[in-house]
Amino acid sequence: METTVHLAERVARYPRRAARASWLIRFLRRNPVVLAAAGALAVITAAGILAPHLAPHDPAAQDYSALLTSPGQRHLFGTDHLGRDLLSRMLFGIRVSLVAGLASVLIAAAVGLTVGAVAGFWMGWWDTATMRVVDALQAFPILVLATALNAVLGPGLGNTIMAVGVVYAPSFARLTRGQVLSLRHREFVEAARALGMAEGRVLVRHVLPNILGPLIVFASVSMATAIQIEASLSFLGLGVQPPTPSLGAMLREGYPYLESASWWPLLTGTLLAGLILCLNFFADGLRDLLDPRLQGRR
Amino acid sequence: MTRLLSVCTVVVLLVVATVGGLGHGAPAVQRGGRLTFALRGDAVTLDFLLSTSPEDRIIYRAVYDPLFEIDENLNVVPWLVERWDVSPDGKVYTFSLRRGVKFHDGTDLNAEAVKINFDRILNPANRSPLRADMASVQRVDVVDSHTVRVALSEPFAPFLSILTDRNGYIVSPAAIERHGRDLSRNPVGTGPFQFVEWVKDDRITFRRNAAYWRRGEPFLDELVFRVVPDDTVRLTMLRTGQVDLADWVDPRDVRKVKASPHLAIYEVESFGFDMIRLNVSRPPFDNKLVRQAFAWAVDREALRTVAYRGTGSAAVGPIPPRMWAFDSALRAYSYDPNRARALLQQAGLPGGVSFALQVRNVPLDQTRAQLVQQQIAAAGLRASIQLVDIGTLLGNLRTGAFEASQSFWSGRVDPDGNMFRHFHTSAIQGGTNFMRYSNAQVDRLLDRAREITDVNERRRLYAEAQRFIVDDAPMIFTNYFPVLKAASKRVQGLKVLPDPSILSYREIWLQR
Repeated sequence: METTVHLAERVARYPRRAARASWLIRFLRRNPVVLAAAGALAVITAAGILAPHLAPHDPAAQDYSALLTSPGQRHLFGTDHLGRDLLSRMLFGIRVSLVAGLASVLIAAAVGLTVGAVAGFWMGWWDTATMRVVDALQAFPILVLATALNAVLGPGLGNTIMAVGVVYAPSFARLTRGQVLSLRHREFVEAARALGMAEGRVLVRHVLPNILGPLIVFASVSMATAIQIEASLSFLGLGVQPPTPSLGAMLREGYPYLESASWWPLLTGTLLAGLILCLNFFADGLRDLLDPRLQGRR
Repeated sequence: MTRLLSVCTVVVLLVVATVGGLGHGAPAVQRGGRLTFALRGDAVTLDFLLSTSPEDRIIYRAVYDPLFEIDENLNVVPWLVERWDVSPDGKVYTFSLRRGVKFHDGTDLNAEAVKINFDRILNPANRSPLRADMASVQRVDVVDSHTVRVALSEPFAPFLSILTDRNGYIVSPAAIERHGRDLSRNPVGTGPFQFVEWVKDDRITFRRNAAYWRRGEPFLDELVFRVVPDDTVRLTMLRTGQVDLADWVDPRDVRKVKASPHLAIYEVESFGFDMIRLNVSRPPFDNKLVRQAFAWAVDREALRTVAYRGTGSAAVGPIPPRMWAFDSALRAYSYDPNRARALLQQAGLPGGVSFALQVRNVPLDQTRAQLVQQQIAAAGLRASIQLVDIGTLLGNLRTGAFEASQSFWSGRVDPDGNMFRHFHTSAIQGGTNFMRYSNAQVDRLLDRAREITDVNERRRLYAEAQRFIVDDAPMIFTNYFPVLKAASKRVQGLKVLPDPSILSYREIWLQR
């Protein structure tokens, strides 16, 4: 992940636009797992976005005459203990997972990038102060810290997103600071300074664009775990409040029925695990794609 | 020939005797063994003085004996007290204690010990939640070594029934002296079992009290309480033989237990009820019409069939059918969303109201809340569910930081325990009248029902009080739930009472 490459080197190494497309295709052909993961992700994301149009039933509508019906024609994935259509709930649940994952990572990246870039570029007391805070936050296991924060903020999707964002911000700050630190005295940065460019401009125009690769890779890995944490918090009842469907909350409600209505926890669990697995494979591929040193070998 | 005949006769007689012996009468009690009982939560304190938790109450019966006991027919009978007497005006009770009863530390149970225990609860400095129930006790006097006289300021009908629970337990005065605050971790009573150790959030262990005053009892050598908060895990542990008895079976699992050849389900109608408290001190439920709209909008039959899988019954008021004070003529709310909508119109709220419903974060409560949420939405009552842990739920109830809060009441043997503490104005402070409900007529009726002992008159007073309460609707009564416990079929002699927290461990034995 230590992508510290001179701008000029990048230009020289990256193929031009047309060539880049064919190179991407070649990359995907050589990595069928990444291709499959990207495809599955695209399908899941589309299903989540189009949930209101795809869902055969209202995800919150209860039907007392159809409690715990097994998968069949009327309910493709069966129903839960309140007679709610599980397929519809899963489609809407995907939405919650994706929104939570994306939003919390964006918050973490925005906060972490700002704090880390300033700390790494100017050093001084700001660096010392923020990095001690980062140390303190990173001393906690992620899930424990997120649970505690969520409990303090109160239940709800917004608060869960905030909690996960806060928990991940230190990692982004650390990563950004390290990257900025390694670039701040490189020739192209010094050159920009020598030309009389203001410090802030140097940071934004010359340093930041060169550290985006590792940040994007880290963001995609974080998104997988962020979704997992959102599901864990919802499982504990801290996330999305009922009756809004969330994969974690559906697992919590469903797992006591593992024997009597196994399709419910199994289908929900499979979808959640599949989503996270795909994101991880995808992030893996992204890393290979963006890591210049690996590119050389391919 | 005669000889052969007599031998035959003996053989036949023996066979008849053996077969008859197998077929008739209760199986002989087998002694020894360890019973493991899985509870929903850990004890908070093993000193009843400061206890408010239902799990505490379950455990106390192992180590403490009450002054009075509830028998199988739900009558209050003397226990540590051998004989009792009350003055004609109902204000002076005289208790003669059983002789020869010893605490686990070897000291004697005597009149002095009872006085020390009563005074400990009554001392305002101890801030005991039990004091509210003893408010009418004026003084406690030792008459002789085994006789105590209790003087009340006014007649108090539920007095003896209150002494069947925490208020009636007697802890060793020597232990109070020796342990001080640590009594909460070192209980010393006269009960059938003696405390061994408490591993926080894991287990509490007791061993047989060999010197128990009821000769021969208890039958078990060891009694262990395990803390298993998750319903599913608790049941799984029972099925795999890790525990012998499981508390609070979720109604959804009743079928599963019944299907197992090794398990037995104990289902008993309870004294309790499920309910939703409405905060009458703030909008939107400061308006009686809105509260009544809520009451009409709940489909109790659907709650019974979906959440309770057909167990229990639909609730009409705070006194369930199991109690002698039950009023079958009480006009209850049925499911009528149109009527609810009309009431909201009448209240000047044609667009309906929105509010937060606080719900304990456990599966059954979530199910109940989601059902109610959808039902009342049809009438224009929009509830957003807030899942909270039990500590937060109780804290918000106390401070009034809620609009609607779902809960249940475990019930008490005397109807006063289901009424006074919830609906009397004086119970807003120090009771469980978290709704902040106040109605002078209800207060008058509940006060009067405490003062008289005539059962028919008390029944009439409670019926009248219930009519006011149901009409004012500060509390939405939803279900009368059953007490559900599951046990291995090895467990014998277990009696489950309508009060889910009272079990007589001394009679339980294990079949080998």
